[in-house]
Amino acid sequence: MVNPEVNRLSLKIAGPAGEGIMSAGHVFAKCCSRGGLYVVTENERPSLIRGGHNQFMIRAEAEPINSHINLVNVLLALDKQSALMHASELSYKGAIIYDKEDFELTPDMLGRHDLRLIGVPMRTIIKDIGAGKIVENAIAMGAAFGLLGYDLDILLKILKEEYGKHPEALAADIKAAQAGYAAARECTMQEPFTNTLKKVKAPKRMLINGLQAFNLGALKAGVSFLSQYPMTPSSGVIAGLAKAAEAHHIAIVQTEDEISSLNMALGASYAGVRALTATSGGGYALMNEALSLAGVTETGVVICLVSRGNPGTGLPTRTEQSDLMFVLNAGHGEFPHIVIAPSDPASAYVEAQRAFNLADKYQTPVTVLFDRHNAETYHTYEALPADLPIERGERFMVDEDVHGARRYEWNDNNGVSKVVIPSNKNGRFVASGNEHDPTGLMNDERETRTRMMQKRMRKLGAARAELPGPVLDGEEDADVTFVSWGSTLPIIKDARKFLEEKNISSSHLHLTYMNPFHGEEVAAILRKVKNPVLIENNATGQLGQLIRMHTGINIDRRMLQFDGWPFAPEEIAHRAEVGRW
Amino acid sequence: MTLQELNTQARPTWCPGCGNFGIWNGVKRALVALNADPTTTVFIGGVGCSGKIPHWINTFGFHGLHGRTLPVATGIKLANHKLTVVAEGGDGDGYDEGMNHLIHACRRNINITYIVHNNQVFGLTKGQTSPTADPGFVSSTSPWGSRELPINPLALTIAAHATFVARTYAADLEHVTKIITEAVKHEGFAIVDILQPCVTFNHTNTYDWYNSRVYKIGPEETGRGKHDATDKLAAMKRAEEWSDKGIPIGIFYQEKRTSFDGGMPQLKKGPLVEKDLSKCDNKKDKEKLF
Repeated sequence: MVNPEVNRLSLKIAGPAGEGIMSAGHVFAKCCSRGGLYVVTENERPSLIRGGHNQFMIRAEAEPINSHINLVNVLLALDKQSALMHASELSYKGAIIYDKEDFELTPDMLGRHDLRLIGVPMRTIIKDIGAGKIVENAIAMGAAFGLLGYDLDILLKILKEEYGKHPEALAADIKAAQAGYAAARECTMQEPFTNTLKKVKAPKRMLINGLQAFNLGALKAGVSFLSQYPMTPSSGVIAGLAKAAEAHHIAIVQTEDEISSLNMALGASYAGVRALTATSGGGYALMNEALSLAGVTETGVVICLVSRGNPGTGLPTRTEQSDLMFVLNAGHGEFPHIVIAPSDPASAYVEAQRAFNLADKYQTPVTVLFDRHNAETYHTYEALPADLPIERGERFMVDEDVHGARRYEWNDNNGVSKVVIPSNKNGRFVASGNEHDPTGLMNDERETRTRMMQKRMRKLGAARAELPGPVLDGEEDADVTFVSWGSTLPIIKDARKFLEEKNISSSHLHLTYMNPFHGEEVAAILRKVKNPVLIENNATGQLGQLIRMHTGINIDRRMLQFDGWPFAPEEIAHRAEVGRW
Repeated sequence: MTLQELNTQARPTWCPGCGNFGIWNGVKRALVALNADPTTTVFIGGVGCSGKIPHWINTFGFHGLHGRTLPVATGIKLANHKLTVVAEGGDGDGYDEGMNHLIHACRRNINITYIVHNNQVFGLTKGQTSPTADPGFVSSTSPWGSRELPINPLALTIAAHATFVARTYAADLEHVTKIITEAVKHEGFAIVDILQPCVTFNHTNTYDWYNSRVYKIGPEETGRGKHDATDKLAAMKRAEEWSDKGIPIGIFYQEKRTSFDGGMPQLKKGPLVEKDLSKCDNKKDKEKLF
């Protein structure tokens, strides 16, 4: 018998939507984090409230990890379909925990004769403790703890933290977890399981996803206004900030549509506050006209766009990186638009703060582009990266006298004029969507127009100069160089670890600042690397198009996936190993 | 503050005789009557002849997109609720493109004033049919005569829970001034629909046409019965009146209700624009995630 792997686990909870899969997954992830392990999650759900098929995957290890993986050691199957669907994902001698009084599982049925089938008498347990079907999750989690030999007290403590406000439900959950634990312990008496979890001494870590980190960054940056129309998968922004609104003095408006959202945020920014809106691709489409208005009126605003599967209503709950070219070309006409694509929660935290600084300094819209995967995926951190100092750029303070300063004063250096806001004495002006002169009055004279366009567009060059340039992680002469942006960073990091184990060298060029684009720097790197491969969650290789547009360099090897799912590191590593793209 | 001080360096580009002049003058007179501080007053304009008005009133201004005055005005008010915020636009702007915002601004009861220059025609784009055009209205977009019924902005906004609903007539400067003054004073969302002759493109609803139909309503007897503006059903009944026999003007409906901004606890400590960002801290929020 092989010794069990200690503190290296991949566990999946799967079942019908509405059964609390997501919250159970979150509880289990928290238990792993509390036990001192690094955690990464991945969740998949269809766009419906009840039924369908949800899954939540938790990967936990004692050493730092970046991404989920495909391989599963333990499956908590809350219905038969889940067991049948995911049996093939299980590792050798992996386990399925299920309710043996609900359905029967046999090795033949699953096509796997190596698996540990941990049938727990859930119906009897539920009946014994006099609770409802809702405690199934707690039974299954308890059983997982029993199977893994993990300290049940951790689970009981987290359950108390999460459900302490509902004492009756909590009492039932605790009994359920204990019963599940006991049942699974019994099953493992004769043969221990392949994996075990043991509490390790480690600093306390937070469990945080991309949108939570973005919200924390926005709070630190002093966001004071959020207007949003709920749209999956961006609703975490309004849900998160609404909870913080009173303590942090943030006006929150759930608007009638996304057209209203962005126009309202522009009004708030014009009046002097840091303003934010958030949406997904469809809502962003509605914002296009106002985006262009933000450009011409030089109104700084931050737009958080969380992409989902497109086009149309597309795949509302799935992930995709297909909005890149759309965002870069959004809004009619030409105006400076800064586009940032964070990769993981740490980068989301920093880039949220940077976005507000850039929106203020360059007085222009800044889009922070997530996709569902990095918006919802949890990671563990001891601490988030250092805060950026608040930079509001050139602006008059409330009630200040501007002494004749013109709102859109010419600036041949970086195009930035000092912001005047309502209440500034002697500062009355019109922010106009029509072309205007330095005072803001409508003006369509050819010379004024040309100079104003140049003034506005000049801001991009200045912004480019202050943004961190691209860096190649790894060696130029590596066997393979991955080229990517946004949410794929952590996945590629772990793919590279797998390649390292196989003695295949790799490097990685990951881009975060999509506009202004560091064309020269990217070209310099790409000219040196041996074997660049584009990795993107879209059908047309949009980063590839962007790179070609800016550098003339065509990356013809590419791995594209647009089925609504994130890549798995094993798949990327495998493709690199066989060298087929 | 004098009327002259409210003029900017630019002059209105409206056609001679345009009803917009009456509204422009009425708005300025109302600001003088209210002793409003132009430094803390913001006019938001939409797109159309009327939408340009922020360029010609010397307060702060935001001249935005077609139909989007109300979201911009709402954002401004919430960022700094000390400001007096007035949105202006035409019937195409507010009742076509911006209708969704209008209905929601009513139920939201944000404390701003919305003035609609309703000339029942598209002026700036040269005479197309508007959402308030009378049935049969002939234009380049409806050469057969409009087959759609007009929007009834008063009935619609009363039903949408607006707390101040009024109509006035551009040629009656005194009435325009009085109604706009009351609208700005009102705590909550105030809509003023203004009948505005378009001398160039609307040859149906002319000054003469309105003069022979418009009559005033108010708490006093005006010959057509007293009007109680607190009575919603009476307001609805008046709002349904639109015929050769008469078109009522005045305050149709007014109600006291906590405004959106007034009821927002986040604003209690003072305008958000005065928030000290250097004191923003997320420590407590971070702790919850451990």
